Order: sequence, then C-alpha cells, then structure tokens
Amino acid sequence: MSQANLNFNAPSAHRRLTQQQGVVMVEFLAVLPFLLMIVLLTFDLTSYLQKQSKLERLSYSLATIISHREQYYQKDAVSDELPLTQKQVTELTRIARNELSQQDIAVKVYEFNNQYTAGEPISFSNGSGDCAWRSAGAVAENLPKASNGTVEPGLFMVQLCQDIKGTSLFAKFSDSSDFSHLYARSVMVKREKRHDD
Amino acid sequence: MTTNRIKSLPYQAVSLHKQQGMIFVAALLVALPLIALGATAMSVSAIFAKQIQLGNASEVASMYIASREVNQTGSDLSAATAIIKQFNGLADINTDSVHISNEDGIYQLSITSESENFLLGEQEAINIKGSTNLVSGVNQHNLELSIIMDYSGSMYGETDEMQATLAQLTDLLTIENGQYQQAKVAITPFSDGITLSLTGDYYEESNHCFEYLTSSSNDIWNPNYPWISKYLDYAQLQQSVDTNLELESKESGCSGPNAARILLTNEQATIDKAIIDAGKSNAPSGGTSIDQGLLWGLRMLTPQWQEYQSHSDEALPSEFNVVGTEKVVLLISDGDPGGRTPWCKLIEQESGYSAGGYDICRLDKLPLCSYIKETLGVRIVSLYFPNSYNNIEAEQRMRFCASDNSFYTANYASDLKGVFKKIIDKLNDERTLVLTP
Repeated sequence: MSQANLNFNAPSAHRRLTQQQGVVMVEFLAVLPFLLMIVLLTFDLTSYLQKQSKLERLSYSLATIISHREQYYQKDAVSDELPLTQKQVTELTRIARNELSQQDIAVKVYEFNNQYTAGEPISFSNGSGDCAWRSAGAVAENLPKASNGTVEPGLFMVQLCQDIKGTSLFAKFSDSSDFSHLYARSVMVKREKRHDD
Repeated sequence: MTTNRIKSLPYQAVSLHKQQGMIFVAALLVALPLIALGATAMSVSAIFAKQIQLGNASEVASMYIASREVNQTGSDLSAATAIIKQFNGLADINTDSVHISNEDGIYQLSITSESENFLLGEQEAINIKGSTNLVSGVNQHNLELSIIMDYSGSMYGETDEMQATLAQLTDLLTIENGQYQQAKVAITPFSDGITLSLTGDYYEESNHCFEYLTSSSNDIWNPNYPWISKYLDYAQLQQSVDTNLELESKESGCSGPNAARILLTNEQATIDKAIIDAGKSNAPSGGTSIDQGLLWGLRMLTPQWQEYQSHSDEALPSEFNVVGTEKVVLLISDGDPGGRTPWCKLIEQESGYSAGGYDICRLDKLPLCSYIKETLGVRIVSLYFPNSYNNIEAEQRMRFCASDNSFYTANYASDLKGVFKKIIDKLNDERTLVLTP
C-alpha cells in the first residue's frame, strides 16, 4: 500500500469514525428504557411485597387489639361480655389509616362464637367495596367444630384491604384486579373469662 | 507520529464497524444479573414475610389449642391446622406441615412451609419454618395463702357463718387426694392478740398480747426491717421494752382467741379441722388488733420462719418476690380499730410520732400495710365484713390496707360465699399464666 493511497483513505476513515459516534448514542437510548424498566419493576414488586407484609403485620396487630378490647373500652362495658360493635371497627379503621397514612383502607371484622349451637358469625366492616373479602360462611366452614355440649374457643378475624392503584406502577398499567388491591387477614383467639363470677 | 496515526485509522474504522451491537450485547449481559438480583431480592422479601406470617399463625394456633376444652372430639393438630389455614397465604398448610411437640411440659408448635423462589420457579421452592414455644395449657403459680380471721368481740354472731364459708373457700382450690395442688394455706385467728399455743412453737413462752422485740434476729420484728427502723430508735426502745410491755400486758389482761394458728400446709383435712375447732372455741371477744393479726399473717409467709414450720414442708414459706410463687394475706375483719396493742402504744410513745398526731398503729396509716404490699410483694386481700357499729372509717381502713383491686365487702353473712368465690377465682386467674413466645 503506497503513501499516496493512505493519504487518500485517511479522510474517509475519519468520516466513518465520526458517523459511528451517533450509533453508540442510539444503541444506548434503545437499551436504556429496557434497563430502567427492569429496575423500576424490581422496585415496584419489592415495594408491593413490603406493603403486603406491612398490611399482614397490621392486620395481626388489629386482631390483637380487638381481642383485648375490654382493656380499651372499659368505660363502655356494662356487662362482663363486651360485644363487638360498629364503633369499635370504625375506630380500628382509623388506626389502620393513620398507621399506613392512607385513606383507602377498608376493614372487615368477623366474630366467631364457636359453640355447638353457634349462630351466624357477627360481622362489621368499614370502608370500600372493591375488596374481595373472604365470606364469613367460608371461614366458619373451615373452623374446628365443637362437639355436642362443648365450646371451642371464640375467634376474631380481621381483614384489611388497601387500594394501591395510585401507588403501584404495576397496578397502574395492569387491568388485573389482583394487583389493584392488597389484602391481608389475621385471626386471634378471643380473650374470655375463665370462671363464672 | 502523524504517519502512525494515519496508519491506524483504517483499522479503527474496521474495529468500530465490528463494535456495532456491542451495547446491546452489554445491556443483555447486565440485564440478566439485574433480573436475577431483583428476583433474589423479591424471594428474600417473600421468605421473611412468610416467616413472620408463620410465626403469627403458630402463635395464634398455640393459644387456640391452649384455650380448648380437654374433651373436644377433634385433635389439637387438626384444630391448629384449621386455624393456621385461616391466615392469608397459608391455605396450603396441612396437618403434615404442622408439628406439635412436648418436651418437659414445654410445647412447641412449628409449621413448615414452602416459599416460591422467583428466580428458580416452583421446583426449587425454599423450606421455611415458623415456630413458637408456648405452653399448651396453663401454668399455675404456687399460692401461699395466709388467712387472718377476726375473732374480736365485734365479730360476735358472725364467726359461725364465716367458718362455714371458709371451709368452702379452701374447697375452691384444686384438690387431689386431700391435698391442695400448688397451694398452701395458713390460718391465724386474732383479737387483742394471738394465741400462741402451738406445740413446739418458738413463741410458746411469750405473752399473748405482745411480741418481744428482742426476739430472733431473723424475724420480721428485726429492727433492720425498714418499716420498723423508719419509725423507731430501736436501741432506745429496747431498753424499756420488756418491762413496759409486760406491765402493759398484765394490766390490760388481753389474750388471743382460743383457736390455734395453723402454719402453711397443703393438707385440706388440717385446714378443715382448724376451721371446725375455731368454731368450737370460745366466743369471739376482745379488741381488734389488726396490726397483730396482720403481722402474724405475714409471719406465716416469711421465709425466715422456715425453721418453725415443723410439721409442714421444710421449704415453706418460700422467699419473697420469687417468680412462680404468689404470697397472699387474706384479712377478714370488720375493720373496727378496737384497742391498740401495747406494742403499738409503746412504739408511738417511744418514737414520738403520736405527739405529732401520727397514729402509727391505725390500719389506715400503718406503714406495715405499704411495706407488705410494696416491699415484700405480698398481696393483701381485704374482706370487709361490717357490723352495725361500723362507719365509713372502718371501710376506708380496710380499703387502704388492701392491694389494688383486692378490696371486697360482704354486708351479710350470706354474701360471704359469693365473695369468697370471687376472691379465689381472681387469685386462680391471676396466678394462671398462658405463656407467650
């Protein structure tokens, strides 16, 4: 290859080099959304799991509160048995909303007095309706059954439902109702008097 | 230099041409670990969340089977599993995943479950275990119950009913083969003083009406006990105590009821006999020296008195403030202040507190009550049994001396049975623990 030939090809190679610089930029721009999407989705799903975990923990705390409510509603107690009321469930909802700093929280509480001649479970709820609550009948069906003349310990079930449409990217872009709400439930044994006065 | 640069240009151009698509390849190489990292982060989050959920479920299931009646038809295992399945995300738990073990009375309920691995799929699910150590059932504290019965004159006509119901009171404790289970009972009848006729008793030779302050250094009369040392110049008191007290005692001629004290015992027959014997004894008479009664009631629970428990368990009374034992003084009285004992008068005289209007031996100001409750950790249950002479002060006196939520009133003898049941039920409830993890 002669010197003249080299001199002839040098500007062409330089021009090609200049043209290639844009290709890197284009390739990077093409890849960036994909990478960002992976990162955001990971954050979103991790946050989803974290919220779910928080809701589970809160439902357990609320179930404990409702089981120990005789300590908190002492002034209202007129008898040994303090019945579950709508007021108590409304106040539970307030606690849940304050705890999660969100208003779209719904609460549903069942009380199961699991005696041999048990009646319908007692149910109170507060909050919106898009939540897929577990029905009281389905729950009662799977609880231990008391034998003739005996009593199984009473139970409370607290269900919590949180609207996450506004906070989850996945929920925002997915039409699936599975991702629009978080749902948690916990069970707690009723505190009952051991002796008759 | 320029020539070399020019020489390399064609090779650079070729190289760059080959590098087209490298960014995609690099992105792909980065994306795979990134996805794996994200999946791992989510798997770990899910595992922790599920572990917490399993822990909560095992705790509730344990409490549930602890609260069950023993004659239920279904097994504890199936009942526990049914409760666990009610928790969110644990519907797949079955009886094979739940294990209840019992080692030396400590029950452990554990649940094994699987968590999805977002990276490896369901085939590589990770085993998670949630468990709780919880006593399935109840664990009772030992009870040392010292009953102090008022046999003063103001109780005349009331003691028959009191004795009849007292027998029922001790029946409310759990009894097997004639022995109280995890409970011991002592009885001290009192009026002006205490009858000290117990054979072999340390105080057999002492006067009925007062206590020798110079007695055993291990005893609760020891001046080092704070409630005494707070108010007394013991050295000064000791100089005059014997002669003064003896003289006082002789002058007043006081004595205790003709009913024996019974040291702590778990023998039901011994307590029942003592109650019956008390009924056969002389009619109630004399003043109401509650301070004396209270002190002897406390003595029955004082560990330094182990050596005098000659016909009872050598280990009794146990130490104060020991976890696992609840000491209770049950004071039954009409709260009539009656006559103060010579001992109290002497304390007032020597300490000078009476000059300042401080009546040290009045029950409503007696530092002994606070000392028993707060320092020694002994619960004082006060049963006010008023008579027609009583006034509001008598009630206040009894109320003051009682521990929190431990004051009861029986206006009529017929009320006693119900009140005794309340007292025993409360004691049983409070010494009954359901252990939590």
